[in-house]
Amino acid sequence: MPDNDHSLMERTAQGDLSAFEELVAKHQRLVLNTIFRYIGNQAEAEDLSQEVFIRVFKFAKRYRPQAKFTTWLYRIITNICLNYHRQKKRKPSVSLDSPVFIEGEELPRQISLPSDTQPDVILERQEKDSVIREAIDSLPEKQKMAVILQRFEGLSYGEISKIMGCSVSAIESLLFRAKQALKEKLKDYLN
Amino acid sequence: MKCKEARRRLSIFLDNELSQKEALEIKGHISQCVFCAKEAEALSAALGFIKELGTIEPPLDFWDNLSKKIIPQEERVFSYGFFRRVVQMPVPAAASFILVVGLLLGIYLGNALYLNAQGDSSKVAEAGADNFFYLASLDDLPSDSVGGVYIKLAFQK
Ligand SMILES: [Zn+2]
Repeated sequence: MPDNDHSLMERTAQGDLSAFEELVAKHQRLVLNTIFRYIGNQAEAEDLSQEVFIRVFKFAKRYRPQAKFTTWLYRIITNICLNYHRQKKRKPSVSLDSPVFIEGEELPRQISLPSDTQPDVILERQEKDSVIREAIDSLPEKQKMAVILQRFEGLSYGEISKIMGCSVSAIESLLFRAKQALKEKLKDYLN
Repeated sequence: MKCKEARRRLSIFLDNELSQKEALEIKGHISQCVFCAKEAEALSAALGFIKELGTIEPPLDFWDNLSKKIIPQEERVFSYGFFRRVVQMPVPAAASFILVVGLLLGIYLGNALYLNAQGDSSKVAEAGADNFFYLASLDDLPSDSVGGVYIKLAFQK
């Protein structure tokens, strides 16, 4: 099957908004969820997702279809996430686990569940999510990104090394250490 | 295989990145070494567990918000399909296009208005039905319309 993303990007580069809209519709879930897993805050994940697509649009003219489009897309996502973290570190920040307040109102995390889900199932789901969140957030940034790309996005070491700009053996060791840390962090919960 | 090496490879094995031969070797080690077997089990449980992290859906106005950020409002309509193609035409092609559209529209409106002005709106509908532009033959042009005068002058001699 020909890679339709390349032709959509070509049309986007010529200023065709309908092509860009199609590209966004196709990849918005991937972009949003990758960022959400990394930063754990829905509202900010939405803002950063918009930032990703603004860059895609801006750089469309410079885009060369050498690799898979998604490899290029993940590279933008990774840059934005790591940058976000650096900026967060500079500013006094709140913990990613603490509830988010916007104009005095607490923002609930809206995990997608079927509408007829029982309250105890929702609670269990929320508890599980916050345990996983805490474990993932305890990882150093690069380990965290490697885990997200490998475990959630199902990318190979080769792809991750291209996206993160390091060698395959560096990715191997990032993921080795990440697994050890996750195992330690979750052992009480899982036993 | 020593346990230290087995642990390193175990991580790669769990990510499905080992060759078939290497995978068999690590499976062989695990089947004989309780410590590494336990480690494999603990790692698999942790990795399986984090995969259960929930997903979220993009908001319905995601595209609307995005498109507002990338293109100012007044330019947006010209960035879509038909308008964009017209706007991006080379100047002579665009000029010809506009001229042809203008001529056809002029002929249509001119004739329709003329017939209407004559109080003969039934003829408009009738003519519209079998000939959109009222140009079944040039003789049909009203004699005092611009087109009619032009035809009269052209064929007079
Ligand atoms: Zn062993």
